[in-house]
Amino acid sequence: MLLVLCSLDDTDSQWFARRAAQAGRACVAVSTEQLSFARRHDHRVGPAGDVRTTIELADGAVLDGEALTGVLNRVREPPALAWYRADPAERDYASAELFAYTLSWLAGLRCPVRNTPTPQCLAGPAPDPVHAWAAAHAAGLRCAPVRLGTGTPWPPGDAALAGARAAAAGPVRPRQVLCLDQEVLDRDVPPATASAVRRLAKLLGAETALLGIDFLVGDGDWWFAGLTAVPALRPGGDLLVDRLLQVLETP
Amino acid sequence: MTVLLWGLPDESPVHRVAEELRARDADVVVVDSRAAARDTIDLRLDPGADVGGVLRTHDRTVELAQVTGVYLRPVEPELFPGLEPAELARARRFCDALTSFTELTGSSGQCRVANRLLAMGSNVSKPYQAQLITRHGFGTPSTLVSSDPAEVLAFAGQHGPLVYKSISGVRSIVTAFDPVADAGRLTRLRWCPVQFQEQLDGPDVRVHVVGDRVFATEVTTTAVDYRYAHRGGATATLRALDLDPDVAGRCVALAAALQLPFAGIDLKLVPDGRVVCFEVNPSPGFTYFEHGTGQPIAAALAAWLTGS
Repeated sequence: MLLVLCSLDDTDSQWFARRAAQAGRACVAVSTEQLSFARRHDHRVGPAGDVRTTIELADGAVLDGEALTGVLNRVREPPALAWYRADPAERDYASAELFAYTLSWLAGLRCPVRNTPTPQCLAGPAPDPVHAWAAAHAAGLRCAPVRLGTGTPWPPGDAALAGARAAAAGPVRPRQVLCLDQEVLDRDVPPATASAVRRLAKLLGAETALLGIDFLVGDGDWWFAGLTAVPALRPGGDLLVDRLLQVLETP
Repeated sequence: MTVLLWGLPDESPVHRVAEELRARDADVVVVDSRAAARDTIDLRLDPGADVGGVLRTHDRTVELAQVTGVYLRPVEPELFPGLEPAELARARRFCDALTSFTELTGSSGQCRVANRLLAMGSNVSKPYQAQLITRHGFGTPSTLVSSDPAEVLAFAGQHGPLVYKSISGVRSIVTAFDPVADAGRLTRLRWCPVQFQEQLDGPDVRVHVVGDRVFATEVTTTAVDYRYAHRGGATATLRALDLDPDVAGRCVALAAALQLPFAGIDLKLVPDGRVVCFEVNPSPGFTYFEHGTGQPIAAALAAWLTGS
């Protein structure tokens, strides 16, 4: 069974789950909110690091890690909705615990998972923005100078975008390029940019991951503007569905 | 050479490393976590150039390109009471930018960092880190993370005495589980699973890895968690241990695999011969062990930071 994990408002993930079902796959979408109110969590790590996890949802459905054949993981927050109205200190502690549990559960799955969680982000690779910028530059993408600190108004995640805005001459449009397991899924990306995107994925250790690489595009220039482990899926269309199903079904 | 220490200057690990660095005539710049709302940083990234910029504390102005070593033990600004929202936002910007610098600097080898925050991440989840640890030749205790009281009792029946502790890196006290006395509280698991582990016999060993140097300390105690032995009226006795070279080598390899030049590895030498690893602490409070054994851990870290 394919499992799609996402937040309740992640309509792109739900779109993919529908497309997978239409393609004849047994596919279930489970929201972070459902995980928050699960009836039972059972996560075991054996002496040799072998992992077994079973989650029973409130409606009685059971997620058995052994029975999953592939997981599209788009979990951005730990399943801590049940603690929403708790005392802030209690809520913060429970959130940290649920983050730690979810990270271990998803990392311990033996089936293909896109994306495998990281300690920085449950949804996958989330390098420091400055590190990502340096990797993008090393990979050969066009990178504008970046300024970051107490004298700049933007958060670190927007520093590359701010730099690209300042450097681009003339009008620009934002563009997100999908890269799955080092394959660029957008056909109109200039070949040199596509090659650099593939190198970027490798430099970030994201060889088996779905990434969205953000650009500002104008006058033939593709300026690197950031990346995300939770890209928009629908623009990828049929090609994304086909490729994603393929990697999720390849042990 | 300029070495940056980021944390609380009066906290003993930071204080000791500063002492040892000054003894080596290093230029020491201490960035006080309490001053994050007042200090300034401007980070520059230009294509084709190394990361640069300027850091200003109350008494120093530092060209970041001149920094050759960094020891990180920062405290999040959100943990300091009394900051106004605007001050907190500014402190957060400072910390984010300084973190970005420490993540990137030295990637080509000109600056030593102990440890990068990205590498420290594995410790946010003990069972996640356990999965990594077992790939490097150590065992891990049988572990159950559960929200189901019946499963916990069954696990206790299978494994004998259990302990429970936090799943996350948020500091917690390892506590013995009493199936009778704790039975009434088990229903509270419903809303947040809790981590239970088999309780193992044998001496605790803390191994500090500094680069490729190893300092092992054996801890003898009757307490479940030796760090808090005094609270229960127990004692903890520390002595330097000559660690088996194979185990020492595995500790160095594990720390290197986790990209931690400085690490505190918690081992249990089980009587049946197993070497079980509980966790790898990426920001060890090493002074407790240094004080208890005389092992020169701060000196070793200062030497590593200065490349000497």
